[in-house]
Order: sequence, then structure tokens, then C-alpha cells
Amino acid sequence: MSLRVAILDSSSDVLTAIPWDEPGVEFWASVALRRRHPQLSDRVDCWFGLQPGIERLNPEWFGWALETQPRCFLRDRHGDLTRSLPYPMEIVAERFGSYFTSAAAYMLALAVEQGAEWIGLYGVDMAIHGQYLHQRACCEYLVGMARGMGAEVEIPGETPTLRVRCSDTYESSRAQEQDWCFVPDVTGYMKREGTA
Amino acid sequence: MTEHVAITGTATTTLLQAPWSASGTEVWATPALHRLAPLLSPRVNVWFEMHPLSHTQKSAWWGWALERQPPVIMQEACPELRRSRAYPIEAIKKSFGDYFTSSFSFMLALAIARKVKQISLFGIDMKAGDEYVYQRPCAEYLIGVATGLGIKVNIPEDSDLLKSSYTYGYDFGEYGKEFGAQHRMLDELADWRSRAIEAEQLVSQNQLETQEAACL
Repeated sequence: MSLRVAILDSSSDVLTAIPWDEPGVEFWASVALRRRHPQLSDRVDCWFGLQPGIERLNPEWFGWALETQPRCFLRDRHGDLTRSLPYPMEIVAERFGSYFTSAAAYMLALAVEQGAEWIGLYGVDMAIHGQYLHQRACCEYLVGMARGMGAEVEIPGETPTLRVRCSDTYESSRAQEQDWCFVPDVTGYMKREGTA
Repeated sequence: MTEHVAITGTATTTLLQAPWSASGTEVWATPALHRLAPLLSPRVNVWFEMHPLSHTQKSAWWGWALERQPPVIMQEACPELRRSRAYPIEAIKKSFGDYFTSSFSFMLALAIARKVKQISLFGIDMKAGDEYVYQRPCAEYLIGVATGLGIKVNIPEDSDLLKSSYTYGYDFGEYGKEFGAQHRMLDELADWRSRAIEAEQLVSQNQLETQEAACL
């Protein structure tokens, strides 16, 4: 059965348009999601905590995970979390290199590696400030790769990822309109036009 | 049909690595190259001037282009440059959306649409300033699209594209210093909290003992 993955991260106060009721969708989330949206925890199918020292960095999630024993990919398998698995870094790195700057990037890469035909990004805003400077480019690279390989990548309308206030050179006046531009599914078009 | 496009920028770290005279390779550049290295201008196969004409006419490249009449892709074909062609913006937008933050991103999109087999990027570091903040994510998005479609994308080792000073979770590098500081701060906060709890318990115990003593 084809894989459909909704990736949830914590960079939004409001998470909208998550297809909770759509059959066949797996919900993957960064452990940081629980800090901001604890009410969603029970709906997550698989957690990702790639930073070392998960107990110390995310004690609240860790306490909850000890009780509920969810499926999770950690940097290394954790003895107290019986369903934890080490993130398959070697396999993923062989295909994508070692350019990973966020938990969302690891989730995206694994989804692509596992042949997901649909990927949704929710709360993966990466508006330009602070550490997101490093994270956004990498994330967009992986979105581009997923689309190039034929996966449909859905990004909710209000997310700044893959949007800009104006296209370079053409319509500078649009900078004043403050509108984010949306990138449609490139491969869908290319297939229709016979260019892919 | 061209199978290999070398897109050039102006970062001197990798610019000279471009295959300036290789057969089977088209070198694409922007007028900024002419400002930096006019001697390389005759080696460029196709120029991309994506800014409005009023902006272009002020550049040093404009005079050179009027004289040499090279192939140019512009927003609109310009009668003074006889070999100029309009960038196929509508077709490109249909394929790639409306997300373009640099001339380089337009060039990349066109190379992908032309189904070249290989794209090489020289002099495009995107290390600092606006380039880094706005242009790099879009450029890397299109590099991802190209790679996903099976186009070989060559990026010199010295370019910052598709590189980071850290690998999240595994090797924090320079960023790790800050990350280490966060760890230390968390440890200190945890210590402080446990000491505060102990102190609170001690105070309560002392108060209880004082009250008990008073009752006696």
C-alpha cells in the first residue's frame, strides 16, 4: 500500500488543515510538538527525536513516552522506550548526504526514502528568523527532491515555506502587497506536459 | 541539444572552476559577471538579464552587449539586442510555481525545463546577506527538483549550497557551542530547581518544628 505521511512540527501556534480523518495517512511528529500542542499527542503515529539527550531536552515528552510507549525514531534506541528505533541515518545519508538541519528534514528524507507518494507539511513554517535560517533551505531542498521524484507535497496556504513576498525582478510592486506566492506541484505539471 | 549547462555567478571561490571552453557545455551567466570579470564575457554562451530594461541600460554590460550582440534571455525581447529572447515566464510558472528569488533560480528552472542531463553551478555560494536569507532556500528547492528528476547537479566543494556547519542531532559543529550552552543552562536550571525544592521543604520542616516547639 502506498505511503502517505503528514509531517507535524512545532513552529506554528496554530496547526490547521491536518487531514486527521483521511484514511491511510500516517502522522509523524517531532517530539517538540508535544510541548506546544500536547493535546495532539495521542493522534501521532510515530515520533522523531534526533537530538542527543532526549530525557534532558524534552523531559515532558520523555515522561509521557515512558507511560505510553509510542513508536519513535531516536538518535539511538532507548532501553526504556520499548518501541524506539534508531533513526536509519546510514541508509538515509547514503541517498541524501549529511545535509540535515532540522527534525523536519529527517522526517522528509525518511518519507522520501520509504517511497511516500503523498507528504503533507504542517507546522513546518520556518519563517526567516533565528535557527530557521539554517533549516529552511535544507527543508526546501528535500521538498524539491520529493516533488522531482514524483511525490505530491502539500503545504497549507498560510505556511511561509516555499513562498516569498515577491518574485525576484519581475513584480517588485508585489512586495508591498505582502502576498506569499505558492508553488504548485511541479511534477504533476511536468508529467502532463510531457517534460518529465 | 545541450546536455550540460554551467550556470555561473560571481563568487570568486568557485567561478574559475567553470568549464569556460568545454565543448558540449553551455555557459550561462548574468551581467554581474561582466562587471567582475569582463575578460570572461566572450566565453558566455547565453546571458540572463532578468531585471527591468531601465535597470539593465545603466549597467556596464549594456554597452558591451550592444556592440557584441550576444544571445540574451530577458523579461521581454529588446529590439536593440537582436539576439534577445523573452524568458518563458508563464510556462515556467506553470511548471514551477511563482517562487523565484534570484536570477539564478530562473536560470535553474529553465535548465530543468529544457531537460538537460547535467547542471553545474559555479560562483554561486549564497553565503551571506540577502542571498543567504531569501535566495538560497529557493535555489536549493530547485536543485532538489532537478536532482529528484534525475538531473545530475554538480556543486563545487567550496560552495555553501547544500551544506551546513552542522548535521542536526548528530554533529552540531560550531552551532553545537550554542547548543552545548543550552544543555548547560538546562542542567543549571534543573540543579537550581532541585535546590529550591529542598530549601522549601527545609523551611516547611523548620516551621513545623518551630510550631511544635511552641505548642510544647
